[in-house]
Amino acid sequence: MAILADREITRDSASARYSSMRPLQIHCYPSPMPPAIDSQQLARLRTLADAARLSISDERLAEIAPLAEILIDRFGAFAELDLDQIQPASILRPPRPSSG
Amino acid sequence: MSDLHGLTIREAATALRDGSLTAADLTDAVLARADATEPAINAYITRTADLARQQAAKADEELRAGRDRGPLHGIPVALKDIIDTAGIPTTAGSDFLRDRVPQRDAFVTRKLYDAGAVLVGKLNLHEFAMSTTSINPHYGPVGNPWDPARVAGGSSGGSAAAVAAGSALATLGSDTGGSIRLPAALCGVVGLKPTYGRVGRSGVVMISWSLDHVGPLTRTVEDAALMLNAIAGYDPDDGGSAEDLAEDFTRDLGRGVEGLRIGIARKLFWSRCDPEIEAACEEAIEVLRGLGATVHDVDLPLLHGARRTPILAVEAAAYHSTWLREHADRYGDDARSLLEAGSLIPGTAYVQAQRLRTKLIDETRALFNEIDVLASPTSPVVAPTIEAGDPKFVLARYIMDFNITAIPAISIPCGFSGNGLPISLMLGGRHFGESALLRAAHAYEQATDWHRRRPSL
Repeated sequence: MAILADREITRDSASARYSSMRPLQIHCYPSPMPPAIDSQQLARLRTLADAARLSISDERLAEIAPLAEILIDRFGAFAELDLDQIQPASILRPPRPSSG
Repeated sequence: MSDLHGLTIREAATALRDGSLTAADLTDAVLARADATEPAINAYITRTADLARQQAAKADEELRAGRDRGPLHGIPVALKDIIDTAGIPTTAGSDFLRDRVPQRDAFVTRKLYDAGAVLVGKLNLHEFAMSTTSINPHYGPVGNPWDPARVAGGSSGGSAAAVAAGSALATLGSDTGGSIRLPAALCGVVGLKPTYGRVGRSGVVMISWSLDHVGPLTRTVEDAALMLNAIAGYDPDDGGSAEDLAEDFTRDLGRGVEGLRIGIARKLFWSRCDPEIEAACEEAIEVLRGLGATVHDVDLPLLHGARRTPILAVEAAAYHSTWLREHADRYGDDARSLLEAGSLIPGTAYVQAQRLRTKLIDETRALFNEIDVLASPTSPVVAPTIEAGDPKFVLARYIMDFNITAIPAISIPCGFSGNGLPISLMLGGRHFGESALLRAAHAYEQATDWHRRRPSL
């Protein structure tokens, strides 16, 4: 109980301080930002959002679209790289034979 | 002995063994310091004073009985609040986990307990460790001890602020895109991200399975080595854990940097840098050169174009998919934006990113055949105000690449801006080359006194 009591003191004080600040800005990935998103891009993102079963308004989708487009398009720029023999860095290592 | 809360681990460990200090007195001093600095700094989400006093009493009993667990025995430490602690809330800085009390300790928690450390609390962070400022919408912002109106950096902001403020002698943080090194830099302390796989992560709330690391924040490089000695090791419950490569990371600290090859990748890690920071880091490299190191211009052309990887956002979105679909309004804006964007990334883009990552790792590995250490500023700017925040993610400009390539990296204080804010140098090393990295950082630290300065709280 002592732990929780300590925690409440900290949290209450912090929350009071936080509530006096202006609202947070939405974070974007590293600058510079890409050009404005057009309606075709938004339609594509809507398809992706629906496929992901994400409940997201059109306004919200427009807000995060620049960040999503950066992340999606980034690797288009590397299409010319020879990745033919390259396996993903996350590939599973095969299980080891059990001893005995 | 005055200012016990300002001791390094090494200083406290020496005093605990020569009889001039008890763990109980040291813990009381640190708890009193936290009373004085909280909630202004707001480094803590949960404080564990009763537990700390019990653990300190036990540590004293053991030392009196001749049972010495090593340098962390009786040392007050604190953990980022994404690291599980049995019986103690672990919130991840989120609303979702506000009342979660784990039943098991994380791998690193057990390691620290086994080493005799005393837990004084759980530390504030950016919500779910997902960005750079530790402006937390649920628990309030962490203030920078050098200027509480400024951010402490993130996501391990509480971990850095507590060490700088003296409300813990050392802490643990996590680093998915720079989250140990950045707050360490902005708060003027040492932050070490070990090689991927060096420190087990079971019992740590994940952001990104392939990018997450756990590591220490301390006042000195030697203390970072002591903490790494305690927490490194194979973790059978972490699929990313490396085989046990046990070594004493303090062993080579005194060997100096004669002949050490320092690489400078100017296009990659020095671009768009505050001139004051650039000058301080140039001066730091000159210090290392003066100690016998050689300096070489290098480049990592593939990495230069691959900085905005979708890996973090996609893996985080996968971890959070159910909560995001059902309770998106319970996230703050930063976390929600990242997760929603990550949910929109096609699977092929993620796999291509992981394939490209293989090439980036190969490129980095080849570079470290030519150099021993890669040097750069940790952050291109000093701590921004809490009001300004980091909306364009500028703070993370130089640090994410070390997570993509999985190499170890350390941030060490190397100066102060004209307005009194810390500036830090980052050194990166080859995979599992922490000893060389720590040796270089320690040599620099011994030649300068930036790490001895304390904020006037």
